[in-house]
Amino acid sequence: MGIEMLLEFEHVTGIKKQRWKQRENFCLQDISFTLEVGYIMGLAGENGAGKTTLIDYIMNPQQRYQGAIRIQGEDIRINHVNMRNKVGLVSEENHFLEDMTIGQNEAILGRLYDNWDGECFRDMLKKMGLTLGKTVGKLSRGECMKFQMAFAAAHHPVLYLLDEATAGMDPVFRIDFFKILQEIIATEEASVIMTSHIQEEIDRKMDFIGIMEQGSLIQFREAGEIKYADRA
Amino acid sequence: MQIELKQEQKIEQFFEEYYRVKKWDKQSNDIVAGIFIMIQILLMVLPVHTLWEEENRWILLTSIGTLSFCAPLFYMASYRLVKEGQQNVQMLSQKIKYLPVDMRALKKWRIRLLLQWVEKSFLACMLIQLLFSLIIIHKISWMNVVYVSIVAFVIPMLSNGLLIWLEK
Repeated sequence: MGIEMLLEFEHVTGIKKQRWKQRENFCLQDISFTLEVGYIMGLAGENGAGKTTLIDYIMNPQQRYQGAIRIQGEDIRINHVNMRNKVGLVSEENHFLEDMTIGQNEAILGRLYDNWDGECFRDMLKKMGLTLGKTVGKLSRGECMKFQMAFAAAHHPVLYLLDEATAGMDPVFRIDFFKILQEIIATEEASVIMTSHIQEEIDRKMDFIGIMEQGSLIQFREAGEIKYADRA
Repeated sequence: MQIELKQEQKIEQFFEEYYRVKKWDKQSNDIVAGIFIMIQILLMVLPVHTLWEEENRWILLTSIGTLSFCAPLFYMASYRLVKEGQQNVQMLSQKIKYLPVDMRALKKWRIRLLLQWVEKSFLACMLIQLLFSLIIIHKISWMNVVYVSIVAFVIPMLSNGLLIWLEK
């Protein structure tokens, strides 16, 4: 049996669309890489390099591009709704109902997933030190990331997209966070793409590192072969 | 087709749950609209009743004046209520854009909300005013009926259109 490719980017180049009096859209430039099951890929680069845009290309069905993005061998454009069942997103942008509690968010938003696991969600919340009664809008940035991580894990995705997930977390919990992440990858056969600005985190915690610059992936290697810190 | 139906059910359940948790009673919309309709009927019935006994044009004019004042108010109130619902949908569609939901199903839901507005405010008001005009036909001249129709239909429609345009 061959190696199972979880995520494939094949010459992905964004199609620019410019509306009247609007700025030209930022696009990805000929991105190609593959990610196998069970690995963490770190995406590094300066602000505006295209890290979040790369995540948006996976998540947003309205993004127009040439080339192909495949998850478990299937082009994500074929059934984007089902694809979102396979992906867990932890993002800087809060996509939750901020005036409601964690429990209410679970009741309302969790039902949209085909394989929502309430028990897993509560277990994860416990590990993250959060309770169902907390209002999402009142969570600190670190707590919000933890909540999002628990929410992402509760529908058992095969691919985790973590956009600056550890930013705002206290250093002690950050160690635990990576332990939890490793545990998930081992038990669920999932992979992770993670953007980060923390050099030490990128160099030590990732299996693969991709460095982005102006929408292009200028380097993509195994973590041992490349040090983001040296490059900076 | 099966998948599409499942998605629409998903959206429906999602909104039901959202309104349940939010404790936003969908019926309150109907109650407010109902109160406005009742006020309008009262305002219409009273002058018509007086007209029945003796033909006083100034009463009719008062009635038209009240009606033209009341109708835009009614439109405005019902429009705002539905707009609140629309805004909820808009906000929620932003929140769920990365969740496994078919946005086409969500668009259908928005169209349904819009139809609710047409159905509840526009149509109901139109019918009541039509009834009012029909009652008056027996008592006054055709010219007055045309006048009543213009005041009762055109002015509220224009004011409502203006309101929507201003809101945009």
